[in-house]
Amino acid sequence: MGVQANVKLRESLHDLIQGKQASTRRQLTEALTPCVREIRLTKPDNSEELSSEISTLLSLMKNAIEQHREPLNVVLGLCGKQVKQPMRFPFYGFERVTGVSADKTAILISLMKRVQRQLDLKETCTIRDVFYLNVELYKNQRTVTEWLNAISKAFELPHRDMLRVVAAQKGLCFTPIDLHHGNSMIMKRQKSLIPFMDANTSFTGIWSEIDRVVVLEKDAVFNTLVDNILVSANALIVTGKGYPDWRTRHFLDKLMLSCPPSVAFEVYTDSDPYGIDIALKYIQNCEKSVEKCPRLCYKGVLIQELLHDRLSTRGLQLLNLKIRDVNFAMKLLQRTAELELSGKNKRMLTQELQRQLFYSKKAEMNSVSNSDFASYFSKKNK
Amino acid sequence: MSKLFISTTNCGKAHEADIFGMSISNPFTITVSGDGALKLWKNRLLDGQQPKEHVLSKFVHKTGVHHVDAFHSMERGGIEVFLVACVSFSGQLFVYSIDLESGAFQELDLLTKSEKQKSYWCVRFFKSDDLNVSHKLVATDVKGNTIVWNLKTFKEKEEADGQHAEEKDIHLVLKGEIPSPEPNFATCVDVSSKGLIVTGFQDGSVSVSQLETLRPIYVFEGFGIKGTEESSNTVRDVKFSPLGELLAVANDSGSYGCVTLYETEYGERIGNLTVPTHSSQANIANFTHDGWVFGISFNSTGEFLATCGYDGKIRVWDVKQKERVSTLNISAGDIEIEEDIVPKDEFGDSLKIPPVMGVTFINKGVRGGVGSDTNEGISCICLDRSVRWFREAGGV
Repeated sequence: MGVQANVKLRESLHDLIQGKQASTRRQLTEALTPCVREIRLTKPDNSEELSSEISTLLSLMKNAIEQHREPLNVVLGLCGKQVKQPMRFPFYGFERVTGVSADKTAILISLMKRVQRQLDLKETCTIRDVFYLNVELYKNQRTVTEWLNAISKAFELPHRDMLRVVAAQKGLCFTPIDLHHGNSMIMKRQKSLIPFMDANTSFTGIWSEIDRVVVLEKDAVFNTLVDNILVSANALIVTGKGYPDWRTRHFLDKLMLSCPPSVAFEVYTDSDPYGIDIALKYIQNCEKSVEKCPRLCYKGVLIQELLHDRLSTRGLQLLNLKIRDVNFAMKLLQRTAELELSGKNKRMLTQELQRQLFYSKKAEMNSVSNSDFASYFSKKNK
Repeated sequence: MSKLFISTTNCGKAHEADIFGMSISNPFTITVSGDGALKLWKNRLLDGQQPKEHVLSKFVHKTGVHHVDAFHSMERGGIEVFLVACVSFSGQLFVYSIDLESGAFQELDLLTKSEKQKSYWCVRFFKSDDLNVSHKLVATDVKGNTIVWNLKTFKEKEEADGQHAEEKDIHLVLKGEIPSPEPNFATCVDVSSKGLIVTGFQDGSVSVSQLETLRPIYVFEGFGIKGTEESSNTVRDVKFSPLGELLAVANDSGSYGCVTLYETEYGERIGNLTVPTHSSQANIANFTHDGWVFGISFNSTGEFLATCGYDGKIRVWDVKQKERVSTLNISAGDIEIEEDIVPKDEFGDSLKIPPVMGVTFINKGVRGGVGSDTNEGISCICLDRSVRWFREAGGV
């Protein structure tokens, strides 16, 4: 009992009502306002210790609420470089609820927990996996991406993938040889997803059996070429399914560095302004040098090939350019004119855009050679 | 009655990329290309002179240039005006004044700020022979509007004593705009001496309006193959005859090219220009060329019409009889200077029979050389980056 006498108890509500401590309204408000614990996510001293950093942060939060009954004020990033608005959790105060809603804090904490788990297990999972673990909380996949970006920014990580929660692979590849990278490999003669890679990944294999790396806009055409044994016997075929994700581009960049110069790199897209844009996305981008492949050569499908095409019902597979396409093509032409592109690419892409505009036509790559892309491809590379 | 045209001059590798547009004026044959350059080829070459040695060149825009037209006129007081207007693939409209003595280009800044924001496509001058009617500049934009300006060549200011000051000052006064009822790429435009203006559209329709009021009076639909969305019937060129009585429309018919003639007084269709076919497959459509028709041109009397197509041919038609009187087959190999022959482009695409992208008749006395004063000629641009000049045979 003697021990208890030394502990200074906080005022009870009864004390406050009696007005022993607070005689004015302001004093009452102050007395009722709890201490706040500020939790700040900043760059860890050593990025290797990301996991322990996160676990410290999480336990600090837990203790604050469970043991000290202190509300949190979570801040992402250093002063002046804050990534997001500070979040108060749980909410307290007299004024109406303002600022960031509580579910944001819940998202942040649950993602931090997930990341910590992935880091401890040294496993990689996709953003989609994380999203489906708690659809009710995240609501949509973009929220997960956004908050992972925020966490990665707050910790000032060089790459978001260090959190070991990565974007799902969109691209597909097919290789006629086994491609080894690290202690894993891409099996030959199988459609596989583009593997996860880090900065040091490099690919090894029997390159002499590969003539070319073929990049395709559409996965329908990818399947046609893969099924054609004559073509797929000595070609590494890649598709990013429309606009490519960063991983597919990164993969091509890695291939470019690993392949001997004898291997040709080719890209085939739809004969429309967006196809040209997709080809450009593979070949060139201004942001990240590790995710472009200037060795790629734009090969088609060219609008005049479709026009000259004596095999199919000529002209019938061409569609009118819409006003939107025309405006897009005009802007893209201006952008292309500014770019520094190697080899014939710039000329080729410019000429194609000009012709598409002048003919005011576009076409899909599937429709070439009577909808037989494989025969078009073989003829072109005879 | 057939006509025979013979090659007089040609020039391979005239541009570094595809040549998309041409126009002819008294002093020059003018071409524009995807390489961004505007070139003025001197018409009156002496024997032995090469076109490439007598060309004025001006770099216009890095995205490439596709439509061009020239304006050449002797104004009051003997002031000579020579203007060239062209449109770049970025949608900008450029007008140059060229000094015929020195060959110097002067870029004119004629459009207002809001006018510059439009994306233009086709451009054409109209030279008025009536002193009370001003010259016109007409342009279409990609949304389908046709914009008309009055082209003034003198400063409009009255001196204190009431006399006009005759000072050369080229400027535009916006006359108005013919809006398109729905967004529809306006591919070509022409103005007639009878005060009509015609715009051709990507979806195959052609709209004729009055130049004075800018009110639409007729809309023609294409006569190509119909029924499937994929079947093209895009209008590629429209031309009025010199006296304005007839209108010729070139449009796609699937992968073929058609030319249809209309009479302008009542908007009646007169007929198509068709090649007789002996194939049982082609009877669904009678076509003018076995490929899209990119250019048409009346001769100075309006008796003949020249058409050119993706099939690498130029055809000359008797307008009254609607009969073909001549066919010129273009081949990449017929360029005079061997090293300028482009049998295929850098990307391996064959140009042995190069598509003809534009054609114009040449009036008597425009080109130099034997027979040019008595005979008309034809000039064309082809996808093998060449410009060719022909003259009607005989009478020399």
